[in-house]
Amino acid sequence: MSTPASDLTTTALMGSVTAPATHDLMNVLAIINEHAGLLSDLLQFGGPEALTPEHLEKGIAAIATQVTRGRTLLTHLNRLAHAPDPNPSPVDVGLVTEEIVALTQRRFHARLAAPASSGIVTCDPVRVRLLIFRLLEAACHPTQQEETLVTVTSQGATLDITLEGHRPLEHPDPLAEEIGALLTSHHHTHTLSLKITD
Amino acid sequence: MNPRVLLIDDEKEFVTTLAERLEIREFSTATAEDGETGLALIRKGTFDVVILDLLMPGMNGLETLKHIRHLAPDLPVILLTGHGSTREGMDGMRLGAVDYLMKPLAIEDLLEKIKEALAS
Repeated sequence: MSTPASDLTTTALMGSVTAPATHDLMNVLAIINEHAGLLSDLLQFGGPEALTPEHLEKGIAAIATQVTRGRTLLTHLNRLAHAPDPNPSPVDVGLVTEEIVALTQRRFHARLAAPASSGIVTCDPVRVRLLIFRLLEAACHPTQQEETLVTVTSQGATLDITLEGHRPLEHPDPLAEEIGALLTSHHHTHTLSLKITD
Repeated sequence: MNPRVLLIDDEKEFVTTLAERLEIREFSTATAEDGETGLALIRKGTFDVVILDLLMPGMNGLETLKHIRHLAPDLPVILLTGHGSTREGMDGMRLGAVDYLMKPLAIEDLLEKIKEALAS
């Protein structure tokens, strides 16, 4: 494996990915806050029959949905936080792609077209995350009005991450070479190919 | 007539629930999930105050604010931000927003800001 990512690379990754993710977490809390507040309002202002079972069911379901959303974000954030650990374990790049897409959803409006294939790759866990982030940034719609579709598929010993974006890549990213990956681009579709570890 | 509040935020669950809470308090509300829809509502109707989220896909909050200032220069706009810093809120105030609040909201704070905006 190559030398660990520099402090600058690690800081760039952490700042770029945690900003949209924490914004999303604020929204999770805001929605829970409003649903809890609405139930309280109905009790306080609505009279004895205002708070119906339907109101309760709707509020509870909405809160449960947001708790799941928040838990998913925090699971991904925790995994990201461990990326710069010394002696990192082998990287499942399928999981890592899922993580970066989820954490930056608000910023890039990207989504996985299908569940990501698993693929263990021997590479630096910080660099590969930053590369996926940069590819999403380069490929996404300029105003996020249209989705960027991401697929992760394995074919033999190769794991392909394909982004169907909205812009051509202006220049190849040197991080691809640094992690031993091949980056190819055709119009607005960009594919990062990595060798799966035996 | 009840004060008319337009809420613009791409988080549908948030914006519809907050609207319901304002209606319990006898505000009249309309909601939009993006800047373009919000601007269309402002062109068609009359509002006393706008609550506007800063970070939205498509036209973001600051862009939407610039258009609102052009369409309805005197319409007070209160910004919402989910960011952990106040920088974006301050940027918005430089563009003419009357105030900003951080998510999650305390309803009492929002009501106070609306009251101040209506009095301005």
